[in-house]
Amino acid sequence: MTTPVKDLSNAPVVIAASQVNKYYGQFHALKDVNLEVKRGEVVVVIGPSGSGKSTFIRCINRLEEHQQGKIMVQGIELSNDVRNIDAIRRDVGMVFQSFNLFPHLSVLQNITLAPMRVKKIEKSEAEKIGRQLLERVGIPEQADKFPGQLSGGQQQRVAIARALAMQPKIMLFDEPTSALDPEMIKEVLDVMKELARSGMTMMCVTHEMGFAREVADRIVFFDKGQVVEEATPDEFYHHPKTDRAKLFLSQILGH
Amino acid sequence: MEATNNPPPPPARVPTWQLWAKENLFSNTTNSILTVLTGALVIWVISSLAIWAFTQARWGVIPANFRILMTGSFPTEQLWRTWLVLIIVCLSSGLHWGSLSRGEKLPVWTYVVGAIIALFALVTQMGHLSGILVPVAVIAVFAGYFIGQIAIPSRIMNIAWVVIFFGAVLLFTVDFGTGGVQTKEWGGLLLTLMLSIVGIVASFPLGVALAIGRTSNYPIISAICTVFIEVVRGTPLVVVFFIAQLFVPLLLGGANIDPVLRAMVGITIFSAAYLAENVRGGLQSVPAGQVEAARAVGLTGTQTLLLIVLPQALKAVLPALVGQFIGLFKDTSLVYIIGLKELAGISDSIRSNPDFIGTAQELYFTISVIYFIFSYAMSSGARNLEKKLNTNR
Amino acid sequence: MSDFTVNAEQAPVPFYRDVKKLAVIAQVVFLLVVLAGIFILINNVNLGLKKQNLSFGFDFLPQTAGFQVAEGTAFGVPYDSGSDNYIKVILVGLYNTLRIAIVGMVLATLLGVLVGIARLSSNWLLNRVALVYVEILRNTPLLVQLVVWYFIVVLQLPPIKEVEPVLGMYLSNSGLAIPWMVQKPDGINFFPVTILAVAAGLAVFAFFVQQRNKSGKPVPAGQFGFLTWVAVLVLGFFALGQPLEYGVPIRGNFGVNGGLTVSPEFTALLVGLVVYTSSFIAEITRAGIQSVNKGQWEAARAVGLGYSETLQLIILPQALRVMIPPLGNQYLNLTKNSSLAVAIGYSDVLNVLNTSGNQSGQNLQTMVIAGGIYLVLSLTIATLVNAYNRATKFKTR
Ligand SMILES: Nc1ncnc2c1ncn2[C@@H]1O[C@H](COP(=O)(O)OP(=O)(O)O)[C@@H](O)[C@H]1O
Ligand SMILES: [Mg+2]
Repeated sequence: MTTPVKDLSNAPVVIAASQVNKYYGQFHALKDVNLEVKRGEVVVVIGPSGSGKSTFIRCINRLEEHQQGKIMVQGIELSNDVRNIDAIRRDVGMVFQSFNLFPHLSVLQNITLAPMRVKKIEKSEAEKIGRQLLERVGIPEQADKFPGQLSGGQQQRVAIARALAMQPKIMLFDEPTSALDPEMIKEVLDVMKELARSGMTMMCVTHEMGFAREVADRIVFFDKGQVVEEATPDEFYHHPKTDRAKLFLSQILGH
Repeated sequence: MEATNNPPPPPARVPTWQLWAKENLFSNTTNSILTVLTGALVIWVISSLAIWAFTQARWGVIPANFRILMTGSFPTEQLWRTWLVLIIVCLSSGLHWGSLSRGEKLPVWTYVVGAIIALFALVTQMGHLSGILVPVAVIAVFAGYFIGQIAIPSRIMNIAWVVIFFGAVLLFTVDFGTGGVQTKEWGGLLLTLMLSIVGIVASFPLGVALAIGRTSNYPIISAICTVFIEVVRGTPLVVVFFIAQLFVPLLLGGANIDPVLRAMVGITIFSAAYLAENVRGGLQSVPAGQVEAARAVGLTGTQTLLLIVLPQALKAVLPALVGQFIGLFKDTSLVYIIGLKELAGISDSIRSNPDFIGTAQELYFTISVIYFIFSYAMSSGARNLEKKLNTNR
Repeated sequence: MSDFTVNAEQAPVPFYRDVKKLAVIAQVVFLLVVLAGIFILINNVNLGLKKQNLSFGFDFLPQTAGFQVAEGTAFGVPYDSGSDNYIKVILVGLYNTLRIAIVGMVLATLLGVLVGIARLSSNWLLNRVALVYVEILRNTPLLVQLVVWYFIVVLQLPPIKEVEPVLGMYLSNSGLAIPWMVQKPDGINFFPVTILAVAAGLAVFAFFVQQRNKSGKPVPAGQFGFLTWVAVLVLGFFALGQPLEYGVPIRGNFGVNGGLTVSPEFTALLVGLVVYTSSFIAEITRAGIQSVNKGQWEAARAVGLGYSETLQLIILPQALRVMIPPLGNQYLNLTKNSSLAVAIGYSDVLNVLNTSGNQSGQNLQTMVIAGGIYLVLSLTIATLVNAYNRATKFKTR
């Protein structure tokens, strides 16, 4: 299978991080991170555990606060301004490693909650959208179940549908398949691939090499809170430039 | 003595009562001695109780004062209000119960208990009306159950209870032209129940607010709530009652504020502090990921709290809240110390009536049974609830 | 084409949209509301008091109290209602509260642990009896139980003239009299020594528990603590010139003399509190024992320990760790519940303060003092339990 070549040269930059620094107390978690993502681009973030991948993508919708540097999302600066934070969160969807579905709400309610409460969409309209999204992620029959009654893979697909219900311009994924049993990983990755092909701007922390090679436009390699290497998937997997990336690849490939 | 902690798997045998007795009562020497000693104690207690109950006790004091035990000095010509509320509550309990147990059959014991209560009321005729109205109330429960099974969604019942609560408070006070009722005329079981129910309903919002304040990220708010909670929890309820008794009139600028209201203020503040600690446990049990997910889909802080965190937290601590309510129900007896006539207070008054001198045993036995029935029913309800919630996960 | 990265100069964020500033504002507003509430409260109380020609002051404390207290001393110093002031009478009340709370805690723990073990017995009868005991006590109000113990049990006991002593003790409707080491009339106050002994015992115990946790070597910390306690008592006894003497109750014409006598109110309150609290401690014990891994029973049996040895040496020490926090809660409850003394007329600190308030017309102040005293007691118990908890925590690596 060949990836259709995307022309991103004219696309606007929708995420722009410059000189971002983040501290947890004394601990320096992000060091001068610079990164730009263009509209429609699919960026895969990889790196050793504890290298700051989650911290970075959580900074993009202000689940974490950065101390220095500047993050612009869709032209809006992420500052202490409530209005900016709200606007950015409305445009950025997020999918977590541990799903974080709301256990006391049904699958459909999980999806319609934010559109109804935040965008003030009518219930019937929200449910229509919700059912369409469940169709899109391949589990329309689960609408009235509760999250506890679903398998991990199904839960993660509901989580993706929940994020899509707000019609985000950008989707963030933080290791969406790491908590899943192997047989369920594919069903989630398929949904993510479909999403990538539909032109969604995506930033994914994932070590799924197949996914990265198939749909990623760029790989960003994090280590010790820094962006160490940026390259296309082919380049990165076959000809890593830095020693740290070589070491990391040899570890995850197991030889 | 053996611990059940360490039971060897019993070999499959036909259980006869001899075998059962050997295994459970006389498995070895120590066990046999224990059985004999405990047995002697049990026989002694039961026989002295029976001798007292059937040969010495003057039970006449109970029917003679039944109305007072139930409602205190509630005006006799206004008693229809309590009957009305009782029957509505019975009907709604039936409806709620029925709506929660769709497709389940009523257990046999409920019929037995219902029949016993109805027959007892018919035969003893304690008040001239209760012989009819108690059976009506019992029938209301069963009728409600069957209607509830077919027709009523349990969500509607939650709203119904709120309406019934405020309706009952109104009905127990307001003057409809034929004279009203004053709270100081409430007494007996009615006062016990009103104090506990008003206490838990009023303390609920305050307690939840305190819990949210204490767990909030705002250090000043958290500190103030913590101090309030800990100060109240460090003070005995009697002291809270005494202080409320003295402070409430000063605050509201009148010495003649009704003592029942003062007691309600005291019990509300006291209960709120304990409720806050229970709810705090629930809030802390909600994983951080829930808040993150809610914020990530764009919900505001308030929406996250009200729609995501609180529902989960309250569900987690529901059994604990029932436990707290049982404690509150028992604690209302302390208003006896500040001179109110709930079950314990009214018993004290009755036994100092010259006609009923020396009937302390009968009275306290009876009210203990009343307290026991209510709290035991609630605690077994809570246990069932806990089991249900645990299996739901 | 628009490039979002173009850095338009951002207008400064107005304060009502700035999350940081909003957080500060919210807290300041909350603080102001609370302060305003407190101010209104104090103001209203002062106005109300003025209307009744009273003021909120504590000047009455050094005045002569002038009422009798049925029993107790100001921590070893006798109280004289003719000349002593309110402070002293409050101390007598506090002494009475502490006395009943401490004795109550010890007895309730012993009884509760026994009932808890009985709840787990494989003897069906014992097991059921313990269950009924627990359920009845937990599901009826303490106040009713106390009233029953006082009016129906203790006051209905035979009068002192008719009872025969058991082991030198008299239990009658005028209370309980037991042989005891009592203060000689002219001896030095021994009370401080008892406090010192308890403190020293606890300190030694805590020290060796810490040693044990640090070194991992078995140190009999409990025994060392106990020995210290005894040693301080004995040393104090001789150092102060033997201020105590052994007294045996002797029946006279008007009750008993000698030994330690306590009132029927004390007796009823103590029994009531102990029995009530024991039912809760029983449940805590049961849960604690059940929380110990079954493998522990099997392992202990495998190395040849008997049932009671297993329970004492293996199971209870482990169960104790789970039991300590809820047990501490019960001790707190017991102390606070001792304030129900008012209902049966035992002279505890609340009762004495209540009388003081009525006597001096300063009810508000005496109740505030009562609240303060109970708060300090609660915080002290909570601190001790927490300290013990921290000291005995499992060292996990
Ligand atoms: N809330 C926190 N407090 C303190 N340190 C944290 C916190 N969250 C993450 N860290 C630290 O920051 C570093 C980066 O973490 P993270 O971004 O989760 O790594 P990754 O997702 O790449 O595995 C880690 O060393 C981690 O221990
Ligand atoms: Mg991570």
